[in-house]
Amino acid sequence: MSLLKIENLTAEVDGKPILKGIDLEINAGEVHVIMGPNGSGKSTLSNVLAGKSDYDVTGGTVTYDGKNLLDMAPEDRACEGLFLAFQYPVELPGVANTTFLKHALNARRKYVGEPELDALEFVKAVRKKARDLNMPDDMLKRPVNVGFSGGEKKRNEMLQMAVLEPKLAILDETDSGLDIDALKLVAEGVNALRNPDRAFLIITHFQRVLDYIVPDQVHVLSGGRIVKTGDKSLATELEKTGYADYTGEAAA
Amino acid sequence: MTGILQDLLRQRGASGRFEAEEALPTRKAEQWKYTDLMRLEKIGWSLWLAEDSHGVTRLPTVLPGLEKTIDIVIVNGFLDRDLSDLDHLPAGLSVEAGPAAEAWGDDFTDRLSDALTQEEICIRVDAGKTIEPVVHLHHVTWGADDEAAIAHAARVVITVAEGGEACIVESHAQVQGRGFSVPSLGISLEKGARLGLYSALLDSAGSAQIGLADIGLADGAVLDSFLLTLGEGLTRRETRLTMAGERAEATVAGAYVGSGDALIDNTTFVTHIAENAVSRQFFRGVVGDRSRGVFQGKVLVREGAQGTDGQQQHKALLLSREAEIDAKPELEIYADDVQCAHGATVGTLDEDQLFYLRARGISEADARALLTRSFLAEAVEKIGRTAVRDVFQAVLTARLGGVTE
Repeated sequence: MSLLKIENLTAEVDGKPILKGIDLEINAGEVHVIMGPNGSGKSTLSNVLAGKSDYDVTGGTVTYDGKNLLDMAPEDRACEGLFLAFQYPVELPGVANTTFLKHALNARRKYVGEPELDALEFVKAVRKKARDLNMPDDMLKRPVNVGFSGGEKKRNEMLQMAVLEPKLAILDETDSGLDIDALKLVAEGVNALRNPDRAFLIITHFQRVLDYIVPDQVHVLSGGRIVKTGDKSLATELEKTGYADYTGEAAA
Repeated sequence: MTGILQDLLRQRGASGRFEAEEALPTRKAEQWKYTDLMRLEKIGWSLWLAEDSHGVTRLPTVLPGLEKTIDIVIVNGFLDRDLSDLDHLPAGLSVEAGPAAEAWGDDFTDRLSDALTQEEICIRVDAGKTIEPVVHLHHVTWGADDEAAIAHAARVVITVAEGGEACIVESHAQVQGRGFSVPSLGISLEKGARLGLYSALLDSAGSAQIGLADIGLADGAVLDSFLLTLGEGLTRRETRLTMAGERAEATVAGAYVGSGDALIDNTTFVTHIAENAVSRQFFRGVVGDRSRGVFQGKVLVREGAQGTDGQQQHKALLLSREAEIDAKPELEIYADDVQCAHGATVGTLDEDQLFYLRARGISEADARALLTRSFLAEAVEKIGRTAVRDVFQAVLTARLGGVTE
């Protein structure tokens, strides 16, 4: 059964159409990659799925885990197991990283009717996951993303993903701006979470992340539409030829 | 028509430093431009007199969890010896009450304070003594019933002698009825003295407080102060700080939350006279409903106060369309080798931050509360005494549950 089914989705920002009819189906257990040139609508798609209000959905449907995703508040989408790793993670001065994680995790546990976690157990579990991502304990105590480097912010997104254990994780250019070691850590984080109940939608500009994560499907997004779908080899092909063919097609 | 001032003076049977027809200052007066006192006029305040007796038998818990304290209880402007811990004062600390001397200036607030103050409570920390337990000054308003409107003025004069050290918490709250209070604090920190002064202004709706703190620091003295204002009526605190000694250091921080029709006014005036002194003002506030926040902060660096480091920051959040913030930061500098800066911003909660929290499953209401709390926590974190900081943070957190959009 599909975990996410997008049908003929259209959306605009400030009256300007960006998504012009997206169709995409992701089954539990799969990893999908969306590649595309700048301005093709990649970030719009991820923000629409997460529920950011700056984006107006003008048509189409999105079914997530059997429910109408577009009807749900952002926090309910998150509690239903949808996770967006932000392209530009936001700084939260005065909110300690652990406090933030605890609030997030407990919100989800409360939503699904589970008791809140014991504080000590929680800290232990988070520390272990942070170490796996090569994050020093100090980063857990600091305010969320404040003073973090670009790479640290991305790793912090991966930590949140590891703690929240989503059903569907959308990674919005999480690989951008990472050095090779950090990229490997992110890929390991994704691979470690891969299981038959969970799916990933990896939005990227570059093919190199696919050296470490093997996708089930690769889609090319251009001009607000998915113009081609294939397997891993499509990404390799794109690396050689660039997006020129597809942008031309979208413009035509 | 005679006004409120004449009425109160008549009740006291005193003349005071007012012109015969003097009225409350209006918003035409520069110092009162943003704070309208007209709401005081319509209420028939009864001035509390020395011969009146109150019915306070137990103290309200206004700061839950505050560590072991020496309680000094001031009901309607008068020291209550029975409720206070006067018999168990540690060596080096004395508390006495006597007739009030004149206040420290000629501004309206000084004269108002003089007109209403009938008793002066003197707290002294002897030279070289460190008073370990927190000294808690409980200011309470008590009226015969909930409708009672009591005017009162307490004056507390604190001296920390050379090398002495103390931590004083003051709280202002109602037990019953509403108050128009004019508390004044005169503080003198002698050479190398250290004082933590943490104030919680928690008056209820319908009350009004016009407070004055006049603080002087001698060479090397250190003041760590914080003003938590959660008053639901009109709450004004003027803090007048004189950096009279070299290398004196003062922090005047504060956080406030306005709700309902509250008006919260923090007015500061820091004067640097001596060289190489450091003053830090750090205020954060949030206002919701129809409440208003006022910040008037001035730093004056006198000629000869070289090496002054004077910083001032006020940031506020508007949580509703009808709420209002008026901020007036001022620097006036007559010395050339100084580091002074001020910053004032007013904004709303950041939409991107809110979305980030919601995208992690945190409800919109919780996200707003969390961001608001964090915003104010940056000021609360300035409190040097950890145990007091935790208590103030808890009081603030509890209160934020009641902030509405």
